[in-house]
Amino acid sequence: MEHSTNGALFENLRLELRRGSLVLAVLAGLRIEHYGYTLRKTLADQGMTIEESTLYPLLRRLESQGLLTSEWREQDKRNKRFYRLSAEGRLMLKQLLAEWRTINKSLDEIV
Amino acid sequence: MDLIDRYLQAIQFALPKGQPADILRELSEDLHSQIEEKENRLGRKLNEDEIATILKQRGHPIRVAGGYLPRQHLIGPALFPFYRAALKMAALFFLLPWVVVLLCFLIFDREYPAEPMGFNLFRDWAVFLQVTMFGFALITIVFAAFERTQAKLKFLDRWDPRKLPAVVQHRAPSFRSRTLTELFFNVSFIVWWLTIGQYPRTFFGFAAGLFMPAAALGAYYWPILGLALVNLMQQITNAVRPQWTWLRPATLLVTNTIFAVMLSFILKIEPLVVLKEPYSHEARYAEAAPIVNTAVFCILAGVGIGVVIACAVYGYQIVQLLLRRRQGRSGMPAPVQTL
Repeated sequence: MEHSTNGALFENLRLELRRGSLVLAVLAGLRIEHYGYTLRKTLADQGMTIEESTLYPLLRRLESQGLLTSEWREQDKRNKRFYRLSAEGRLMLKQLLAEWRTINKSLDEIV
Repeated sequence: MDLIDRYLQAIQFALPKGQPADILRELSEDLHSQIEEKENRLGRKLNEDEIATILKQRGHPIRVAGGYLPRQHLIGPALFPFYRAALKMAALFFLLPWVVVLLCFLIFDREYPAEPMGFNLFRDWAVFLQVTMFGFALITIVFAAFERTQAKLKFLDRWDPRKLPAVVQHRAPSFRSRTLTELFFNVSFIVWWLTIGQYPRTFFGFAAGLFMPAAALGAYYWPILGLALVNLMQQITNAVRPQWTWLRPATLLVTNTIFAVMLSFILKIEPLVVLKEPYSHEARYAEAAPIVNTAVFCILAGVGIGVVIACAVYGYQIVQLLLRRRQGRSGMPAPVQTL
């Protein structure tokens, strides 16, 4: 009972920790153009698994914030929506990466 | 592919109106890419069970559609504690008296439950539920409006630490000292109760020579003493084991509930007190008897209301203790709550 509660608590904290990192990972992943499925696979191959139900709403949100651009194009006889970083997204990624490195450095020193 | 179409249709149904139509196209494309890749790996078409497994992994359509909903709340975390406190106050000062009054009608008014088909009961509880819903809805609307206003005016940002109220020192009596006080009063009650037969003046005052309790009340003498003794056992136990904080509300809830039921029967006894011989034949005393009976009835009814309120309080304390114990076991921090 205690073990499962501890597991649930860990899962909650892990999700909280990952939430911000996912944005960073998606922005970084879209320096190269991808459609949803290949982006998900690329991130998963590099150890950052992300569920479809999280990824697609996140892509929509980032696009509505002007950080991504997208277009529908045909590939392999199917229409796919391709995403890539906008100019504003590129600048934001740079700032976020700097912030992330600072946090990492501080954490390294604290831990 | 029928399953996929049905899945996408279910998502479409749960998507908020006005969402871009290409959400479904994109989800469909992603699903087909995943299925196609798996089929290429297996070298065959996926069967219905395998497609169902993939869809199940993706989550319920409502959850998937929920991901596209804007992040919003009616009452935010800053106001939520005040909102919850307002609901609790409404429940305590408005709804609880309502319940007590209705219960009093039910217990003490002999004609109330006798109405055909429990019409009175149904009507009054319907009104009670209506009032409850309206009250809670009103509080929610007021707080939601306040949330919107404060988000725009940002008056939570304009504050001065020097204007915060001074620290209030609460010095609650310790559990053990409260138990010892209760023990003293309970022992006093038991002594009084055991000697009331010899010293009726302690109840009737100067009228003890004229009045005595109705014979029917005798049936309740030992049960009431029994309840007091049960309370005494609890108080002695808690004096020795003050860490058993659950024992007090649990025992008092049980004994008070039994006492409330007894009172409901006692109040149906008519008359509650009778004239002693030879005064029962004197007209002037016979006139005084109904007045004394009414006074005793009112006192007992007042005690009954107090006992019902006490039951509610002890029930609340037990729920609080259980919740605290559950939180303590889970070791989880209090979540940020929003509505």
